[in-house]
Amino acid sequence: MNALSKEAPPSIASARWMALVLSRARAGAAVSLVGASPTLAEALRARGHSVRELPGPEWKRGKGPAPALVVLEGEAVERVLETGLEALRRAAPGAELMFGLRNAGSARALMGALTGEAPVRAGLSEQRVLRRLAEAGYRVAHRETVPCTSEGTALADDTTQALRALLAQLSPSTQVEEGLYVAVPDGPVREPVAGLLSVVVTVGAGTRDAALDEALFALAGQEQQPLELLLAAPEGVDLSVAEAALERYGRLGSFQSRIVRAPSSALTAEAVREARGQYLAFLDARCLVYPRHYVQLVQALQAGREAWAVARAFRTEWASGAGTAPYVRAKVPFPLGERLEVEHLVVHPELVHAMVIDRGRIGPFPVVTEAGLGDLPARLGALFPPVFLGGIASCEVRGPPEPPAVAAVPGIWLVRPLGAWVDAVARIRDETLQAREFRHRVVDALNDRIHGIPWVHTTLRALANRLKRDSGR
Amino acid sequence: MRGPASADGGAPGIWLGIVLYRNPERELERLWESLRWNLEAPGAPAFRVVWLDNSPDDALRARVALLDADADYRHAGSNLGFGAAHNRLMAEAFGAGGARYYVCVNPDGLLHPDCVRELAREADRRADTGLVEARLFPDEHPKPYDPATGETTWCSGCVLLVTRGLHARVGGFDERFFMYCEDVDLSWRARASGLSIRVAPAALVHHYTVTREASPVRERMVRRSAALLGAKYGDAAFMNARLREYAQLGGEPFRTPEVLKPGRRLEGIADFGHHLEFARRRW
Repeated sequence: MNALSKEAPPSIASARWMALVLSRARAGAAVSLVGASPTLAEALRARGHSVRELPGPEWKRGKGPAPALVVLEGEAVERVLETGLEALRRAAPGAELMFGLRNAGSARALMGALTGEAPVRAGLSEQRVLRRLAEAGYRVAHRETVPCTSEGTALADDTTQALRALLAQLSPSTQVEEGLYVAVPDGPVREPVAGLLSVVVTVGAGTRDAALDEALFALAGQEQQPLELLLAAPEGVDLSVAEAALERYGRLGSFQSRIVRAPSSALTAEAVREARGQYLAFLDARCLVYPRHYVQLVQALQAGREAWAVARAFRTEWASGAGTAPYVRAKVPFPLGERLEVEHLVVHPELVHAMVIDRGRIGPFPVVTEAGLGDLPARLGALFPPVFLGGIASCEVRGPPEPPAVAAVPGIWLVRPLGAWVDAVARIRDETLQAREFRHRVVDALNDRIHGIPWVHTTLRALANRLKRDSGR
Repeated sequence: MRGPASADGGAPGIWLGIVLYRNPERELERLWESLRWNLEAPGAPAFRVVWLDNSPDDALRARVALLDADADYRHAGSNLGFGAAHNRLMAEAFGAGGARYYVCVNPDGLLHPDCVRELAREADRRADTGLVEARLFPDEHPKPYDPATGETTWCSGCVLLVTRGLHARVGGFDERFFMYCEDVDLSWRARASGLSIRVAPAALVHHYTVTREASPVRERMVRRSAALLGAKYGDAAFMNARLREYAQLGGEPFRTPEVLKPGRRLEGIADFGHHLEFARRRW
């Protein structure tokens, strides 16, 4: 996404808009211009393009060759995007689509409407536009935006900041005030397949074949059905061993699999885009799942209304062994306790490998961001309280012992009922008191025993007092 | 199923014995597919598969034949129990069969493609090998083993390679154990006779029982076998504790086993200090 200059929003930045349109029109291409824009038409003709001007707001195919570029202006933007996209896709299947948009779902517009400081902004939200484009078989190939200004509202600053942050966490589109868009034809949109679990297995350049094979072998023993595996690797990473393993394990009939290739920076996002399942999970070669791991998570989601479910996992510590299979020195379950505390989502970023998301319940929430997946449990948990399976750990994250990683979560705000906080604080206070009480009881019991032994108590008390004095100097 | 020809062009030197008891069709299909992986694996040794069915009838004969038209399926006629059934196959394998190795294979396991090859490779590594077990996967058994040598305290019978040498020196399983703990007993006897028992870390068997539905019958069977193990190795306290648990689980009374004196060597090996784990846990 490119950011437009704040000083020149697209609605008035006709120069930038015109330059963009001219840059996208291929030599000699037929351009369909919907909505009055004589200046643009003239500029296109001056460059040798065949321009067909339509008054709008609808787009009509007309006679002659199908357009290579359809440019929407004025009321045509909303009309075509809302009701005419499918017809356009059918009648001009190769055409690119260009338009500018003033985002009716920007945080500024929403906050203004919420507080009554501004009328409800008419038109489409960017989120709606993105959805409509995907439904009709387009993807956004180019996007230039003007971000929302952070000007205040009638609300207190902290409250404004919190509300805006929550809107941004749920939908990055809310941070866009205006934008210019180029949409290109894409494959047919795929509705998520109900009940299907898609597991994205990411492979990096340093992934050990043996570890990946074990991860796939464990997945082959999964009981969740139906199951789709997406093996996602950057271009150039050799997957021949993994592909052979997938073919072999696939003969058990317990999953279907696909390979996803993309540049490293876009790999996870592409895998998520290609995943067909209603349910989504992430693994890498470090992970092992036990046979009922996904069954239990999916059942928990089906039994409730939560957007995601997470299980207890093992952190499996490998001792290094050159040339031999890694030796497991310890398995440490995490998170501990019967409740999932908010803190766990930050201090255990590996929980991203122990969870399943119901994509039908997260709306426009961005599963993948530029920061990767490390902060996904925290970002997701901030908006959607999960269901936690607190029984026996049902998966493993393996590796050499390392200092615990903590997810970087700057600026994340949390949605929780006040009662949940009150309960959590009360619980922690009770546990602290119980621990203190237990400690006192142990000390008292020890004291009683020592009292029973002649001269020992006096000696120990003298020693303790001396130590206390010494440490006080 | 035989796989690639053996080096001398004769019968395979490895027998895989599978003891059945009313197994679900899907379980057998999965096991069979994993055995095919093992035949296709690079450097895979030849092996022969023999099925011995302890079920009340031979209904599984047709199911096994669907998997392999040439299957060597035998119906035991009655439920011999785990150890006795394997003993019968082992005797044949090391007798007329001329096998080097016999591998007990649990039918509810899924063998990794390299499992048989890695078991044989590990067994070949030392002349004094008695037993080699596959590593349980994905939830590895927490009993310890030496990461450098693979030496361990006892070997699980889930997928267990038995050498001809062990069979000649200590025999097979003690048939008084109907099911459970016979593998611990065989392991201790093997160690007492100076044989090496090891884990092959690269030989994986997918076998997960932690979330298996609780079965009082199985729990009673485990306690009864454990009590017998305690008696056999002279630990009356362990035996009595298991018998109490057996009774609490509603087990039918049976004749209390006689507490024996197994001798200093076996007593030094037997480990009853870790309840039913028979070894300290790594985690």
